[in-house]
Amino acid sequence: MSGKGIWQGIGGVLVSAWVGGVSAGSLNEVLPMPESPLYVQECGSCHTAYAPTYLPAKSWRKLMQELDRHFGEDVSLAPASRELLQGQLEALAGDGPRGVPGIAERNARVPAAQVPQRVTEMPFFGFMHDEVPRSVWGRKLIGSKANCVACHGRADEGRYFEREIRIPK
Amino acid sequence: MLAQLQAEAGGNASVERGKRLYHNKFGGPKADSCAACHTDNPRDAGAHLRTHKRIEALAPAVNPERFTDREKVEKWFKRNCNEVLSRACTAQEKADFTAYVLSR
Repeated sequence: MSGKGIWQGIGGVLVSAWVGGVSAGSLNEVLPMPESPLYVQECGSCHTAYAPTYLPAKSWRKLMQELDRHFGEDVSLAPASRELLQGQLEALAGDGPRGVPGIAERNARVPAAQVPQRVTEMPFFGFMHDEVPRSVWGRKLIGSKANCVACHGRADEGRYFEREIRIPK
Repeated sequence: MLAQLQAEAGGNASVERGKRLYHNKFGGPKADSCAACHTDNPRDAGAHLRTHKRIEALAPAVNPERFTDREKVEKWFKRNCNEVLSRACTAQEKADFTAYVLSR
């Protein structure tokens, strides 16, 4: 193992210990995001630009190949943009080498035959939000579990830091 | 931007027609009007119907970035006309809609 490999290995253990050891949001590292500004421009105009690590590569592949029927909407992109984004999303997917350990481990509990399509139905999401009451999700400025930016204002940058959470009244 | 859209529409754009288009309920299965997401007032911020993500105001009077990038304008006409009217908008509808929003 190279020196870099050792450090990555240790970092992974530390991260997973800490994410696994708390019941409320304390994701205190910036999650890797696609480099292309197209991700936030295109995907992020209708919903949070979800951090790729929240889903496995096969999920991103399916989502990006079915943009013409994306949760009931045709959100097709130009082929070059689609390919670029699919590649960047898959490269940072949770089950790949750049997956964030504490998140990927929990999400690995999804049965292998499934291809999850919603970040909000992943085990890690449930784990981090289990103390949020139903009444909070329904607040006017939140409205949907998919609306990460309502409380995690810099979610589009991969930031879900506990100290930056602001829950709208 | 309006001059260009207006020229493509054969020379005229109507704020009144644009207003009707903006508020008209087309009865589509998802968003049934422009106002459904953009609210009854183009100067107000709206929200995506399902994800609830904030949509910044459409009216350049409060959001100067709007209607400055033709490519962006066409992208959203394409997507949203399809969503609300279940078809593409005509050049006339685009000019009218823009005239209305710019007048607010």
